Amino acid sequence: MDTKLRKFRNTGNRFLFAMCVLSFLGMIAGVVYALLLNSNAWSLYDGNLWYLLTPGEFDTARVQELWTLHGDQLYYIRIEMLIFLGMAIGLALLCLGALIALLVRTTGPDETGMVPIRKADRWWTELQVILLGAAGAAGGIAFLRIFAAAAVQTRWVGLYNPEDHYVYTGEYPVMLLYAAAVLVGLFSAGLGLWLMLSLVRKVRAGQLISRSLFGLILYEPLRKLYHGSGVMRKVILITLAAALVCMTIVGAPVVFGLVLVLGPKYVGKFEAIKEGVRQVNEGNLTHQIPVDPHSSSELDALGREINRIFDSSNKAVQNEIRNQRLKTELISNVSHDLRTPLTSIITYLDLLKSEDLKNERATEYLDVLEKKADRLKQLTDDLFEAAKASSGTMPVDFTTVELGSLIRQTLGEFDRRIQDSRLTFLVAPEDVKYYVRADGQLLYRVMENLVGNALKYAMPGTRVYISISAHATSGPEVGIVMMEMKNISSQPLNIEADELMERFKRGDEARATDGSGLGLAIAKDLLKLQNGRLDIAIDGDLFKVTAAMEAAEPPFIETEDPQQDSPDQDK
Amino acid sequence: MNVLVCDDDHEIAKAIEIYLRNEGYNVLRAANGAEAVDLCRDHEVHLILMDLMMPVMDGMEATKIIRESKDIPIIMLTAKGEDYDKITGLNIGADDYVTKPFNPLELIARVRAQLRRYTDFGKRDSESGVYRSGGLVIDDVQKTVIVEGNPVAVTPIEYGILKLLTQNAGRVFSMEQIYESVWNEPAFNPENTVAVHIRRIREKIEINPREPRYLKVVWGIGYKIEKI
Repeated sequence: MDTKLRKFRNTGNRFLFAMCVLSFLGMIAGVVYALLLNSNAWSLYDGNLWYLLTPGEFDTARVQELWTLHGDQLYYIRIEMLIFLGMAIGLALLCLGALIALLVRTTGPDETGMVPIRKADRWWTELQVILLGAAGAAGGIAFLRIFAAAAVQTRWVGLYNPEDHYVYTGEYPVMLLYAAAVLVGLFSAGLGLWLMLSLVRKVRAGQLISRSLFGLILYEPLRKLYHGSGVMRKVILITLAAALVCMTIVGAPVVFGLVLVLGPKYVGKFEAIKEGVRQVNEGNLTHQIPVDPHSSSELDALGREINRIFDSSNKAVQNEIRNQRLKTELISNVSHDLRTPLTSIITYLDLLKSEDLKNERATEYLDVLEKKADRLKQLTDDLFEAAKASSGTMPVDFTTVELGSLIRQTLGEFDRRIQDSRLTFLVAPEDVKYYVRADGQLLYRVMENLVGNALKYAMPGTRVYISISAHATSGPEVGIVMMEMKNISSQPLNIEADELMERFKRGDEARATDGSGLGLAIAKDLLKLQNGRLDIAIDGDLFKVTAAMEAAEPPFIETEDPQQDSPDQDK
Repeated sequence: MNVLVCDDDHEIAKAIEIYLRNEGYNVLRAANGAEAVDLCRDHEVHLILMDLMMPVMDGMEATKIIRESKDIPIIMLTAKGEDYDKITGLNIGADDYVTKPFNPLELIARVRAQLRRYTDFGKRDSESGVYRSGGLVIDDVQKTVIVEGNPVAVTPIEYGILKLLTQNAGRVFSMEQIYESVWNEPAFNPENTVAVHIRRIREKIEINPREPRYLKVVWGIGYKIEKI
């Protein structure tokens, strides 16, 4: 479920919770007001609420007498009472609705079909029940008393009541009493509802007992023992039996002796298993746990099983090593087999050129052959570079490399081609040093591919922006350094960014330019080898490459000046 | 001058032979490492071009055996294109390596450079004002740069860079350090200036600027002249 929906649901639940608590309190307040009115009218009406509510039905002499005597008062009391009772009934319905909605929403199974268990549900059931009782009884009584004390002071019920024992003594202002009542009411009703929901949830999840104190210390252990394996029953029953035997004076020395003999033996077996697992974890893959192959003891059986796991993981590792070696060998053998004939082609083409060729077309054909042979050589080189980079068998020699210098060095290498290309390369910032942990040679090949890519595919006359920035990470690492390279493509890029990074993919589907389509894939793989990553983004004709690398601490900087031989410092 | 070409691919060996003969060298041919070892024992050989992957005895093995008795230059020909092979090749005693498919002109240039170094070995002078690294000589008295015996025309800035790096051969200089000591002004923003000059120098003094022998790039750190 996405977070937005979850947030919405949570807000809804909070609203329902608040509504349930408030309407509950409101309902009680309504009833209290109505009862107070009744007690006010008590003396007037012989304490019969029903008479007051339905005066026409009891048209006795006494009633008529009362109405003639106190008609005005009774009339108002009756109306107010009806209003309060109506309010109480309405709020009761609202409270019930909210409660049902809450029960459905918070105690039902979620989309996984399980009833989600929350933090509050981890409390012991007994504790929850006691708290619920306390909230209901103590909170309820406190609320009623404070609220009633305040209520008798208010206008409607202040009509007449000389003897009522709720009579306000005038010690506290009415508003303070109301505030206290609301606080106590909100707290105890809220706590009660919260606990109730939790209990219902536990019942529905079938965890009422397992999450109780009783369940924890008695029910669960017994259940586990009952459903548990033979070993568990064996160990527990033996221990209990030993404890019982120990109680007798004769039995105690026997148990002592058995413990002294058997204890070290079994603990030793357990330690051997622990040590074996540790050894294998540390890389000693051929280690085997010493076990008695015929013993039916549980620890020996476990040791045998673990040894079998060791065997198969060892086999898998050996296989992986062999596969890697075969892959490397395959790459270098295929490379050899392709390059050898290519060498002959190139050298004999060169030899042929120096022969005396009478025919003019022959030289023309030779030029074509030579160009294509060169292209074939370039493609082979790229292909093996890509194969090596992706096979993961390339050795990586990590050092601290200053990224800005490396970019400038790369641009220096490409100087002639950049000048021919009518592209302008802009590097920013110019005067900040960014140290990365990488293999300088491999990182140069990444840059070489990226710059070469820009030279091939960027629109002539535009600018290529290279920017470097450092970013902190939340972890303890030193952070990452990002390099971003942006250029305008000369061809429309009707292609997904991810696809461009696939091997042999090229921006121009016609494959008219002389790239191999491997540049970006090689750059990506090489960067990955150096724990970095390469991402591509395309926005219209804007082509953006982002390379992320591990930052490194700046190296110790030598302050001494380069040693010049002193006599000829003639500048 | 006798050059031994050892390659199991007959055509390649033959082509190399043609180029070498055109240059006036005498060529012996071997089809595997074992033959090369035999030929070396029986004839006077001044330089060996050794393929790596060969039947019977491979180039590595043969180089090891020949190195035990002879000090002649050995150039490895590798078609595997593995950096690892190049490094082991140089470690077991090869003097240089060429990756197949090679540019014939580059191969000849490397052969010539190796032979000159081999035959000129004793003539290393120790006069002051002359700095060298292998076949690269900076004569600070006459202000000239000589590579494998041929004078190379360089600009004053290029000369300054070459002198600084050759004087301190083996040491890596950052672009800022190079700028400050050659331009003799603080390097506020050297941009690509140094990198571009280095590239130009390399085009002048290296046989193959893409695989430099003297002026090497230490990526992300700076440049150095290899101490040979």
